[in-house]
Amino acid sequence: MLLAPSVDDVKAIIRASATGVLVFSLGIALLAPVALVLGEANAATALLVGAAPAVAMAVLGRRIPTSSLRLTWTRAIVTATTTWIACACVAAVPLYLSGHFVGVDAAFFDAVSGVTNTGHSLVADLDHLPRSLVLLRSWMEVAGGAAFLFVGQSLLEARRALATSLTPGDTMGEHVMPGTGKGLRRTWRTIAALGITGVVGVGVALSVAGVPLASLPITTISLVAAAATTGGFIPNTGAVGAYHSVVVEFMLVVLMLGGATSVGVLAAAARRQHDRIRNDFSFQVYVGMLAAVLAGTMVGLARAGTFEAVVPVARHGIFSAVAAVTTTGLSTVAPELFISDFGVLAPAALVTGMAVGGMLGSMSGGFSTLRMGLLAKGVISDVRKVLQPEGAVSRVGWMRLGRREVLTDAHVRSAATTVMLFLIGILAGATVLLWADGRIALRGALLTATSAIGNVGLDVGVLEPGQAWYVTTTFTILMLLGRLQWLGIFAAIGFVVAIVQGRR
Amino acid sequence: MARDRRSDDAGRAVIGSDERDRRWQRTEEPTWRRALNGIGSVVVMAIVVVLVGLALSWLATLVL
Repeated sequence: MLLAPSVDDVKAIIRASATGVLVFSLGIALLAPVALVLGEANAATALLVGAAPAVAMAVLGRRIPTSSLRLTWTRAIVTATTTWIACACVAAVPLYLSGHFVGVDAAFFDAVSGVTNTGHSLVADLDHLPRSLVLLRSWMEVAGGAAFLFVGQSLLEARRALATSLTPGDTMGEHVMPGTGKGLRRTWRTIAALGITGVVGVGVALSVAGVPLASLPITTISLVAAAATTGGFIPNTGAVGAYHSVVVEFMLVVLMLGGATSVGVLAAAARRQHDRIRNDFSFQVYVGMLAAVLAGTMVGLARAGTFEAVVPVARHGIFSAVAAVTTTGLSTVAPELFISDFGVLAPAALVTGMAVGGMLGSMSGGFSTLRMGLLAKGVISDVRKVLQPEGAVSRVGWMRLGRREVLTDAHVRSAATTVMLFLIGILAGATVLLWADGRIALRGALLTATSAIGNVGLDVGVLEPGQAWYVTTTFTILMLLGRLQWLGIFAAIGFVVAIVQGRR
Repeated sequence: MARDRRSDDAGRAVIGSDERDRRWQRTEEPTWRRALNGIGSVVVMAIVVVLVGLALSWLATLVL
């Protein structure tokens, strides 16, 4: 039986969503004067046309009176979903008005790709996109990444999610957002530390690599935002390899690893609690996945004979493996080569890394290393039960930043559900692609679908401007499902159904 | 005079292990130092990844 949400529920969700939309839209509005300074009057107008109504509506939304500003579990999840979709709608307006998109669906696809930190793009003539719109893409990545961290930290802080899922457990009725402020502090500190390090490191590396001073600031910002937030959008078709700089690539590897490491682990590293990090189960699986994907990529590249010498194998292999596991989707070669020249094993290793993704509690996508680890623990637990005498009690546990957790059936079920939904999403996306264009190879379709639902954004030449509307719509939905971890979207749909059909 | 944070209400020193004292001191590090610790750890991780990647690629190229 569904209970209809109260009027206060709806008011609280609108008000909280309006706060998120206001911050996001103000950021877009601030880019308008930047566009004017850059001599891009049309882009400035487009940015204002998109941001101004959104700011006005958000201001009005924040004036709605509610009995409590605290968000319960249901309110928090529905608020997160509505905020993400509303922000994508706002960002789609200037993108569409830029004239670089074939249709509204393509512009909305790019907007969703930006706020979900995916990195896919259907922009036509990418190399001549106005610089202010490149900054808009970067802002979308930063805002999306920060919001994702904040929501994740708030849920973890409520100590109910057990870092495994959006399973509400015993939290119904209790407030989970905005929390005590610890999550917000950790979020902005992480963003600031990665941002400052990135701007200094990548900026210096790019200037040494010979990037002209005039384009240095925007190139630096876009690369840092792409790597540190795992967003993966860069404003040139030549990939990161176009800069021909090992130092730039190393700095991006640092940022990608930072962006895919959980805020809790980064905070423990800041306090030099290395023993806690070493024992952290999610971190162990993360390191294990990195090693496995690195090994698979190296062996695959060596076997396919893609590169003849050790150094190119290492250079392209390391970058590709890190970009896959951290779900950044950047590459040092033209992405089409992943299908045509990388053989079979290397792309398979990369797809596996993309599907699993980085750590829960970071900005990365995928179904996360912790869920992967919990599934493995579940198998171990079942094997133990079979081998032990009847009636014996077996407890399997894992460490989470110095605290011991005991594995329960709910953890394994939750992890298995998410993984299963991811796999269904990959199959659905690949099927739509194969249906739309018979020339697409199965490998390319599977890689692209994994890339979308894992919020990776590695485009191997399959998603291009001019795609059929149902392809862009399917992949837009996949990106949202991936970022909101499925249950967020399901909860929002259930909320709407409850408004219509629920018992009052 | 402000009471020592490691003393109880009566002002008596709280006896703790050296490890606890060290942890207490660690949390008192300035923000910039903690940021450097965090970023430094990620840089070390990246260096390890690069070294492991180099070793793996050398092995893979040698064997295959």
